[in-house]
Amino acid sequence: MNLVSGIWYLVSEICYLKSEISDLRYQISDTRYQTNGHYRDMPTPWTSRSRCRAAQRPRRKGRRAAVLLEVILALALFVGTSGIVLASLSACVRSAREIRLEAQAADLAVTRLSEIQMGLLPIQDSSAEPFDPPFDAWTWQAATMPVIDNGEDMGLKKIEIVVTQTEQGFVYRLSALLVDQVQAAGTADQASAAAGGGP
Amino acid sequence: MRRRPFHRGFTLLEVLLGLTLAVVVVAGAFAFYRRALEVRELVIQDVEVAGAERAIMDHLTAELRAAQVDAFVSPGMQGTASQIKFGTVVVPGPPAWAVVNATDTPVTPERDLQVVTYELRPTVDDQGNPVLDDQGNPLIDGIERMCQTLVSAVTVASTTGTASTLNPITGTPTTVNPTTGASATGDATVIPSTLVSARMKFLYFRYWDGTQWTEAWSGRGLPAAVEVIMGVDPLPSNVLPADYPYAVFHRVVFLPGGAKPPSGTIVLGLDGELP
Repeated sequence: MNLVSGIWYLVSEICYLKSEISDLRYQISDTRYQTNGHYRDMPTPWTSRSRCRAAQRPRRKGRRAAVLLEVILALALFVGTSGIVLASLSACVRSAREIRLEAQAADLAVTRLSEIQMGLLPIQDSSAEPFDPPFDAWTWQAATMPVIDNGEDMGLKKIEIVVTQTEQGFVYRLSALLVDQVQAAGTADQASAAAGGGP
Repeated sequence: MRRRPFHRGFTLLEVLLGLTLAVVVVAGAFAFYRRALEVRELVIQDVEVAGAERAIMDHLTAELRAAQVDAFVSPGMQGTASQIKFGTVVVPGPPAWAVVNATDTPVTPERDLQVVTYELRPTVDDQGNPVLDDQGNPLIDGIERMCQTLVSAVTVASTTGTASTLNPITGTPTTVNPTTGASATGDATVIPSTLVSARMKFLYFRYWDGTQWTEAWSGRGLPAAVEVIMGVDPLPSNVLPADYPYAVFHRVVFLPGGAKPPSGTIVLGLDGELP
């Protein structure tokens, strides 16, 4: 945008200078024509016969304004097109970043869920904790809820893993149903005891 | 004689200013265009890498979670740091129910137990020799997946060398290398190999045996979990996979078929052994 602003400033200055130079030339031309009747026989690079006659006509400000309008329109179109392309590129970059973050978040969430299923982590609620490096920009927390059907505890727990990218505010959630191992072990022991056998 | 209407021409200063302005505008537009192309290439590369990583991880996760130890044909799991091979349960594809006439070319049958293999595919020349780069490192085509859709007891009984099996289509014996999938007769028993991603040049597996991570797994049973690590850059020479120096995609996948049951009643498998 600095380039566009610079171009815009340069064009404005050029148009202003051109207008000033033209006005100055017309003023000089008018003055000489009115004050020096022999001027027609002594043309200078600045004035000519046609110029002198033209000097008697109304100044063609409309034509200069049209040229300036064209420049302004062209620049506006250029800036507008550049803005659209920039917005599109920005959206593409943002989408690509979200795809990458989502893939990374899915890996981290599945990994944490697997560690819970492996028994390395308990099935319980936890507060936000950071991952180990190099994923220390991410945090995770777990929320659990027992599954109850018709007032009966099904021995299952719904666990939701929430993975958050703290720097960019990206959040990913992964839910799963896990067997409540404590309750499952108790049920199995009760069944074994009822059958008369040991564990 | 009519006089020509007055048309004021451009002065040299105006022409120079116009040219300068045009050059500046064109240069800015060209720089903008080049930058846009660079950003576009980066975005495409990022999206392709992320998409390939997500697709491979999700597919591998689904297959690992469905990994099974069959009492008769499934080889369990055989894995090294760079290759993994296991039996998994899938829903058979349309060929399993295809109805063909006697005169039609028979389709390759499938069953619900398949043996899949993931490994890196090295770049080879026309003679089958590996291609090396300037530093002497082997070039990598990418990650390939081999899927053996028709698993028989004879085929999977031998995991090294070669094994002979009957082609269910033609009834002729076929020699198949279960590792590479190469078939002596080159018929329907060839294990299809697919390059699932040319972006990934590094693949590393570790296996959880219940107490620690190991770089190899062999046997009828399944590990409790598999750690999958992928990278975009190839592994430099003289560097161990565990010391891979570049950014990685990392996922740990829990295998329900390999987990030990919780304390309590233990249900043995059909073969009387723990999985």
